[in-house]
Amino acid sequence: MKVTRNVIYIVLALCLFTHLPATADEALNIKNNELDQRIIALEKLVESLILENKKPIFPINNSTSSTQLSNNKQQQLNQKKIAEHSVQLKKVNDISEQAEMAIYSYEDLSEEISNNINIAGYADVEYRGYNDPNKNEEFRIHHLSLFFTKQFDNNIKFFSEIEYEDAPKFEGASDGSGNSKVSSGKIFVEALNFDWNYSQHFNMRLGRFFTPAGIWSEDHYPPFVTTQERPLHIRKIFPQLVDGILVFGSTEIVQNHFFNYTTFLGNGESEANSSGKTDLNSSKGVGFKGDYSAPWLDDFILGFTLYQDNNDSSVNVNETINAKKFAYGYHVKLRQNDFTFQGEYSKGTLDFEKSLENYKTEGYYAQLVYKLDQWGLGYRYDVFNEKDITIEEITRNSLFVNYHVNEHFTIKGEYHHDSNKALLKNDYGFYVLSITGYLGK
Amino acid sequence: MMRNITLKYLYVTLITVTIMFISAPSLAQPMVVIVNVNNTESISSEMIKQIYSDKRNFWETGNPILLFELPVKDKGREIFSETLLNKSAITSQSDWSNRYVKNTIKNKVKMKPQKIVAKFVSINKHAIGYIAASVAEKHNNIKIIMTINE
Repeated sequence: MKVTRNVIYIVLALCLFTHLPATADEALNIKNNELDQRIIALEKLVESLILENKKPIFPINNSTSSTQLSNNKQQQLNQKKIAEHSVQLKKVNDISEQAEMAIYSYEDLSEEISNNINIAGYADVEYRGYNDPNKNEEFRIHHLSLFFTKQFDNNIKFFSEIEYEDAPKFEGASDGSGNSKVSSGKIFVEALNFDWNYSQHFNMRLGRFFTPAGIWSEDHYPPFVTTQERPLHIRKIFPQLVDGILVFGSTEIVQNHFFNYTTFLGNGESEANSSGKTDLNSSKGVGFKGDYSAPWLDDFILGFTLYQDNNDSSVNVNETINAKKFAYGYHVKLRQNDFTFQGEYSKGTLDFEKSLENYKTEGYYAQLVYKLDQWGLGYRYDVFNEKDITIEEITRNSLFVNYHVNEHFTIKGEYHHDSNKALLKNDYGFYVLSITGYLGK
Repeated sequence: MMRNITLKYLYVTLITVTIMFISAPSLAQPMVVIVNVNNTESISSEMIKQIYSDKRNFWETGNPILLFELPVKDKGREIFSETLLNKSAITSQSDWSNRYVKNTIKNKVKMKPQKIVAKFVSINKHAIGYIAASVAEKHNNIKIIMTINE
């Protein structure tokens, strides 16, 4: 009963939100409108001056009055008109120059602004409910992520993302001991890298970046994905992040058919809790992702990912039980009109010193979204088997709806139902209502 | 009697509204894709789609493409996105933002009003943009490579 009442409240609140006017771009629009107005005024002025100057300097007069004027007077009049005409011509030239200067200044200013550090970000707030009577419904201040980027010149770029998850709070004890009194939430540098962009075919990235594996590993930001909950196997077969070096590019194999490649070398999952400093062993993780993009449908992407780490410690970073890990996956994304289909399959093999401990891990999902104006409605079928044992397998069915208020702001509702093969584990359902906002331009 | 009169008015209103909708002339004017007059590339509609989907970011000559988009609220953006990319202006802009935060963005895209797009394209050899045909008529040094009717 409590759940139903709360859901009704939330739905009513969401309905109210959908009628809020979008105001994010107002300042930019006012600025643009002002500039437009100035250009229109300048253009009108130039047009009027040009028209003025098209008039004959010496008006044709058929009357005989001109013959009555003395030659001197006529000459003076002509000289006066020529002088006036010259002044007007100078004005036209000056205004043209000013208009041109304004355009160039605007271009310079734009360039200067884009060369400064850019700040963007996103935030999301959720309300979660569970069908487990022992779990309370809750509001979750899930993410506040800030992006800092700087374009040094045409070829070198800096990019970083700092994530504040679950409204972090860290407070020291006031007794001078240096002990921590409160610590909750997470502050995490999720990305920090420098790019050298040489050409369409060859570029390099150095630093920390999301593992280029499949689709969701990189394409996971709440304002732009359909659900707050990611598919079950994401980050569990391929690592979440890589500290290392990445080479990427794109080539047109035949006209309008592209092959995009990304290959990387990094510390692997043996890095101590993503410290950004200590690699627990000398072995490096290495990976490759390839995407084939064809001019079929509105979007057509097929791809694969390979990953190898000969001394992977992700299974237990606190002990020296390392495994040789090899993982591979396929992904597909198709869009035609209002329908988008997306799917991924991944499988990992972990080989230990004692072969009895070896296991495989496998996961896949398929998702279909239908877009109607600003609405998105979809379904996802999702399976994950962590240790290649039937009873470990979880199947999740997800239904979701998105409403894009504008290009920055989305309201989402999603329901997930987990079915376990293990007899002792109950099926489990939960819902998430959320608002997400992109804080960039 | 009253019921009949009410129904009659209802029919008349419905027919009038239907006729208004059917016969209303389209106020939207054609959009044109423009490049600088000195741009000698052979540009197909598929190439334009790829450029605006961030799949192609260099011209055949090897120079980086300077790409202009219109603000989302500009009707021209909606016409362009729906016709060429088969997606709404909001989705198209969200896709750019998504590429930006994923750090996979390739093209140098700038969002400017139509007149500024026309001016910039007229002075930059590597620029591409789209504007209303009536705006294009007023500018020199630009070349129309495609016309988009709603």
